Amino acid sequence: MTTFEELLTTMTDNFSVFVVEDDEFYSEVLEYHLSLNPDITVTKFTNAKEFLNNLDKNPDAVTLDYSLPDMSGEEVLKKIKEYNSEIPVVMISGQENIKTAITLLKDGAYDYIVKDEDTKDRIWNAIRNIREKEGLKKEISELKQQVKKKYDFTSSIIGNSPSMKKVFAMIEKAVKSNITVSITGETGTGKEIVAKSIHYNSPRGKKPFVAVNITAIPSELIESELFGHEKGAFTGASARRIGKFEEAAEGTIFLDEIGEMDINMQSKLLRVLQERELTRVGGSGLVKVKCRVLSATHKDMAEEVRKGNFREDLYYRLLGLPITLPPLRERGNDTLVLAKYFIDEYAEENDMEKLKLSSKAQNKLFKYPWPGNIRELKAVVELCCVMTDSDIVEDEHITFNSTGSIDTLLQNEMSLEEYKNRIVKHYLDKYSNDVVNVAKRLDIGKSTIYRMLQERLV
Amino acid sequence: MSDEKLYDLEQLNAIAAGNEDFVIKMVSMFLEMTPGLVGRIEAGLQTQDWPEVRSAAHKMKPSVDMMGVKSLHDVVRAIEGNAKTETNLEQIPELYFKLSDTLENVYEQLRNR
Repeated sequence: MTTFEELLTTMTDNFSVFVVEDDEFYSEVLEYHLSLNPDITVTKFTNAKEFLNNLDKNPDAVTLDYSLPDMSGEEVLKKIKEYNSEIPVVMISGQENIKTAITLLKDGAYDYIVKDEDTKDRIWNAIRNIREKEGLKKEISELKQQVKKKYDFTSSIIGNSPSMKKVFAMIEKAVKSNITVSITGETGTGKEIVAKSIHYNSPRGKKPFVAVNITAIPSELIESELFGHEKGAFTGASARRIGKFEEAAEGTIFLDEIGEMDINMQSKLLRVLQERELTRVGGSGLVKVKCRVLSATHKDMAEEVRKGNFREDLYYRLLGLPITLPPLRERGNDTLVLAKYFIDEYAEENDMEKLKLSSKAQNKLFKYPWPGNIRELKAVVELCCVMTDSDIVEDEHITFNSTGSIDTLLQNEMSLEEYKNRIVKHYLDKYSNDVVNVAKRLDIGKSTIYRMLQERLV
Repeated sequence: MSDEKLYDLEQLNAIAAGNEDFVIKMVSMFLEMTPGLVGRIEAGLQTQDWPEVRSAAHKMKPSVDMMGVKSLHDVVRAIEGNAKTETNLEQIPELYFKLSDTLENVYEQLRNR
């Protein structure tokens, strides 16, 4: 049991307790006992009317005598709950009555305590538990505020380029409406941050945000991951488990890399989005789907539909408000704006003096094509902050590690033929061996690629 | 007057956590309030107003327990219970006299403690 001293150390904020008790002797004992904690402010009332007139002061907790002279405990409890169901009420009764206790607890009483020699300890425990619970609620609320602030898109998404201004305008529209949103952009352009910004700034912001990366889940498990499963639905399903859609409840589900979804699963997802209800794997009952759906991909989805890799009906169902994130190389001066932001952030997180980028360093960053986009920029900037020994980041502190970097590629000093093979191989990998598409993109003949494949050059 | 100590302030002292002023205050409250409750039981008995008897006995329970008057623990509950259910009403006068006599001695002992 928590001692009084322990209780003192764990409680720091002021906590208001209304003691409603017509027995002056007992009321005095309660007041004295609770006031031993200097953080607790006790206000006493000897009848229900006087107490109810002061309910607008919203106490943090109420201890309520069951037998007041002017109103029954049930009635007073009901009025408290009608006014504010969040106020915890500890009922105190002169005699034990199980039926009454059950009724009061059902009606929303926090606890039911009988006046006996253990009362003081039980009240201590009840108030301690209420305070802990309230503390956690406040903490959750503060954390939610922090998250909201973190994902306030005007501060979390950095950029002044015209292409980003268009993105901001679209995010604002997405925040204000409940429309489905599809986010496209190359890897590292910040699709998930945009999704979170939309969620946390929307009216659903206090509800869950559940992100699912389709590529991270094996295809045979994706259905149960998204829709949940019943006990015994398959080997290893030892208990019922809710899926990501249910987990998102009235919040937002973010389906990342939606373009990678298996065609069979696409039909199941389409049905769920159309009907707004789902069935857990191995179950028969229908579960309502209330969450908002955001999706993202780095693929050209219209092209995927044309190629038959993605269902057209699902594509339009998910399209909603399309937001296209430009690659960093098309964002002009944003590269330097972001680089300076990441440098400041790094310095702040590591208690360092603010660092500056030399003009040569700025030039080097500006010229680089950033195939890994913002994610790559952040990694490069953080590394150069580590590499510098002064408060200036010079160009020699900047190292590009991207596997797709032209600089890196050129460092290999291969023959032109070898470079050609590497480039074609890269495109074939990127576009899933779609020869027609690769030929079109590289502006070379299909037969050239087929020949290279035949000769195992790629 | 009995020499046997009829009260025990252990529980009150535990709550007081060393604050003797609080103990003195509560003893004074007990001495002030309890005779009035005893009077209400007596009046209720005379007029056979059982809800009044029950109410006064009910209200007396916490202070009697807090002052550690163990000999009255069951007595005050029997008065309350019988008056509430209006059964064994013939036992109430006897219980009342025990309550009243014991309390007179408790008052005396507390004043002289």
